[in-house]
Amino acid sequence: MRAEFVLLILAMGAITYATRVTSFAVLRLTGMPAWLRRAVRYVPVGVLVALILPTLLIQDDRLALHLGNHYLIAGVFTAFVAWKTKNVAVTVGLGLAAVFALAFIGL
Amino acid sequence: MTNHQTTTDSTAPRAENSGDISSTEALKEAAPAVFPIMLGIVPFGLAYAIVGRAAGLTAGELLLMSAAVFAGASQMIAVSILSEGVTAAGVLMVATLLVNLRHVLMGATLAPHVERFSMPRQALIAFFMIDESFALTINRAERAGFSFRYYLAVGLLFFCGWFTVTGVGIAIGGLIEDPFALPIEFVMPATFMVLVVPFLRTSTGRAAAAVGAIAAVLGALYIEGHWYIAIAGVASAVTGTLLETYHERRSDAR
Repeated sequence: MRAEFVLLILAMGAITYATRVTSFAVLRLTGMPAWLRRAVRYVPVGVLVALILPTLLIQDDRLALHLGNHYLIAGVFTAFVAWKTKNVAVTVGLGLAAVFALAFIGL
Repeated sequence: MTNHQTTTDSTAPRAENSGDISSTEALKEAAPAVFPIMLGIVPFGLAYAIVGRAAGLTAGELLLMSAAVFAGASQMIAVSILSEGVTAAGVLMVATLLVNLRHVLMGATLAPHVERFSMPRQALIAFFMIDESFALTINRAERAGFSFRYYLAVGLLFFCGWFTVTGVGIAIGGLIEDPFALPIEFVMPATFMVLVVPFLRTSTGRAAAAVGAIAAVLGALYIEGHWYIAIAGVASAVTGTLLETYHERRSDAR
C-alpha cells in the first residue's frame, strides 16, 4: 500500500463517516423540532420507492415503459407478490422466476 | 461478533437494552433479511474490485477502502478518480461528500429511534449506516420497534459481506466478464418491495409513496449521481407533512 493512497482513503472514510454521524450529533445538541420529527416519518417510503423504481423503469438512461422491458413486467408481478405475501424469500424467488421466464419465452 | 456485542453491552447503561432482543435472536432475525440484499450487492462489489484493480489500486488499498469507507457508490467513483493518480485529491473529497450527503437525511430519519442511546452507541450506529441497513432497520422499526442489536447484526453482516465480496473480486475478478450479466440486480428492488409494504397502510403513506416515486424517477432520469434517493425521501416527507397538517386543520374546524 502506498502512503499517499492510504491517507486519501482514510480521509474519504472520515468524510463519509461525518455524513453518517452529523444528524445524530446535531440533533443530540439541539433536540429534534416537532415538525422535523413528523416529517422524517415519511422519508422511508420515499427512499424505498427510490431504491425500487429506477432499476425497473429506466434502461440506458431512458424511461422504458414498454413490454420489452422484462424488469417492468416482472416488477408489476413481483410487487403483487410482495403485497400479498410480505415474504422476502417468496417475493425474490417468484420475481427472479418471472424474469427468467420472460427471457426464456423472449417476449 | 458475539464478543464484540457483549463488550458494548456491559459498558452501556442497562436501560438502553430494556425490551431489546438477545444477540442470538438479533443474528437469527438479521441473517435471512440480509441474505437476499447481500446477493444483490455482490455484482457491485465485484465491479468495484475489478475496476479498482484496472485503475491500478493494490489489493490492500481496495480492501482498506471497503472497510474504512463502506459505501459502494462513493467507492466506485473513487476508483475511477484515483485511476488518474493522487493529483485529483480535492475532486475526490468533494465527490465523496456529495455522494454521501444522503446519509444526513437517513440520520435525521433514524434520530427519533436512536436518541435514547448513549453517544458511543449512536457513533456505532452511524458507522453501519448504508442504504440497505437503513431500509431493513426502518422497516423493522415500523413493524416491531427499533432494536439496537438487530441494527448492529444487520450492519456487521453487510460489513463482513462487503469486505468479503471485495476480496473475492480482487482474487477472481479477472475471470468474470460482466458481474451484471445475471438478472441479480432484480433481487434488490424485489426485496425493497416487501420492505415498503408496512409504510403503505395509511392513505397519507400511499400518497407520500406516489409523490416520492415520481420524484425518484425524474431525479434518476435528469439529475447526475445518486441524488434521486434523497430527493424522493424529501418529496415524500413534504407530502406526508402537508397531508397530515391538512387533515388536522379539517378535523379542528369541525
